[in-house]
Amino acid sequence: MRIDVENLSWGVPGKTIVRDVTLTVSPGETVGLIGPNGSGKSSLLRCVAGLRTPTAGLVRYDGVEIASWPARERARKIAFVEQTADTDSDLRVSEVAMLGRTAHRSRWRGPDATDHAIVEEALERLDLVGLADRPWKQLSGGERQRTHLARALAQRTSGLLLDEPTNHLDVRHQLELMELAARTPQTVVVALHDLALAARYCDRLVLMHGGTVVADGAAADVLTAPLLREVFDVEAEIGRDDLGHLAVGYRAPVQREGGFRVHSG
Amino acid sequence: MRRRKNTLVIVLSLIVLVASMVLAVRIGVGAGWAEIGRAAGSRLGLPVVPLPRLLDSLIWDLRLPRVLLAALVGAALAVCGAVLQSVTRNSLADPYLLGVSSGASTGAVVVVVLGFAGSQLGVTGGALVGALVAFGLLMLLLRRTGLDSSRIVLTGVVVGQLFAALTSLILLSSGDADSIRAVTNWLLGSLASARWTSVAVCAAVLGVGLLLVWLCSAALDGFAFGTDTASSLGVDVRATRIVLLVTTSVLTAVAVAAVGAVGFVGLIVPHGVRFLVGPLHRKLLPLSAVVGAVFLVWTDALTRVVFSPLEVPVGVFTALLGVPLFLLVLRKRGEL
Repeated sequence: MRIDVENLSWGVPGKTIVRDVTLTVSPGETVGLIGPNGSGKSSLLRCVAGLRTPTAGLVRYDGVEIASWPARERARKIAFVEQTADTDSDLRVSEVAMLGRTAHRSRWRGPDATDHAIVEEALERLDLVGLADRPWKQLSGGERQRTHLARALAQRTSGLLLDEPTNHLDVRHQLELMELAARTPQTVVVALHDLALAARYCDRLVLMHGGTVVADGAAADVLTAPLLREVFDVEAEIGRDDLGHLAVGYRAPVQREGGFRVHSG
Repeated sequence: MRRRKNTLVIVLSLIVLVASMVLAVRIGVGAGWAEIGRAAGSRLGLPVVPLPRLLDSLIWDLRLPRVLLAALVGAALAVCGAVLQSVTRNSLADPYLLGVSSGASTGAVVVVVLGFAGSQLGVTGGALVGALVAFGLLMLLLRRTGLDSSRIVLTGVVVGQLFAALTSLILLSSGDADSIRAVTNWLLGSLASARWTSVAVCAAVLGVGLLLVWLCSAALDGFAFGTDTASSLGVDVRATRIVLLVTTSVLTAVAVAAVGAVGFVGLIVPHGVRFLVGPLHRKLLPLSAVVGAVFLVWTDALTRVVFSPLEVPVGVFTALLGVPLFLLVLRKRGEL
């Protein structure tokens, strides 16, 4: 699916968090959303997912504005994984994944054979088959994250929005997850903190700062030393590793007022 | 395999419910199985010797509606608890602890004091207005933090205390001698005045209400991870919440209009049922209804036997059972 964001702004009373963002994601593309804490990545994703109503501008899926779409229609088109979504409930892994079938099921019947097959496949793709009957409270942070991803895959949507999906994951699962995001035919927008991971697996990077998009393009054009200094307040060196992947070497935080006081005493 | 286990649990619990109700009719009625058989037989037109009119009336007009009403109210309150716990994402939510039952009490008492005590529909209407006002007040107090705030139970208790005080004030200032006894009934709940009209109203409303909330099962499951995830799963959060909260208000109101504010059933029952069949609402809701019914039938039967000949409101007993469980849940959540 194609996603268009046009002049979108969103905020809470007294504070604009996303400011006049325009963005296009082509079908099948994997776009990495990067930027420091508080740059508006999560809020933008929520607007694109249709969970927040923009104060200005609009979002289109395949050319159709989504403002008046029922939740059910939206959920068949796009899936969203929050950064942290926890519960007190004692749902099992397979039951959480089955939540992804909510928008495809009639209210009158329980999950049928098709739903079970789709959930089974999603669990397989995220290496969760062995944990299918494990209750939520007994899962590690990474297992919970993967369960949410399985749930999102079970939604069988053509769009996928992920907010910091590699949080809590060990290195191996981080790489596997990004591989999955890059290879899936789905259109993916993924917010990431790890710049090297973003550069390696995303077709395109969108850099946010203060609620606006400050750079949008190929990794090599977005991850430049001057831009990183301006946006992230770090001195960095951009190079290539042995495999030819873009590598980011951080030198030091830029000296400025208001940073951490590194030395004690 | 798991599916078959669930069907088995439902069938077994229904058998337990029917057996409990038959036993409960027998308990404390002062008549043996033969008399109950004769009473039932003569109603069904079988060729049996009818009972003396007084005993027949005792069984048919007092005991049977009382047992049926206990079952219906227990089912309604248990379902309300299960729904509220999902919507508020708080395992301590229950119509009584959130103050909705107390609001319904106040509404019902106002109608009674105004002189419409004879009309079950009038009392139920008053209770419904009271329940909705209490819910409205609760949401108003929580408008900043949202319905799934951890403060909801604390706020609910405050709302409940306000309405309990109003109920006492209205009843005591109405001045007649029976009112003081009525206070305990409305505030604690008692099945002593069960009649066929309340049974009919409760049965009809419970049937419709249970179906409505059961159709929202998938949404109730989706609420587990909060409103954003629920919405991204395809749940219309606003509309579903309104349907669920209005339905629980109506169910609570009907229960309270019939028997007063019985507490803790909605807290105790769903916790036990989750333990049996897990947290998915397609199974949790119907089974909570059946187990809630069994639970209140038995607590009511026990209050009749244990304190005989004293008539102790059944709400006293449910509170005695509910408070330790409340503390247990608090402890499990690390708040005690």
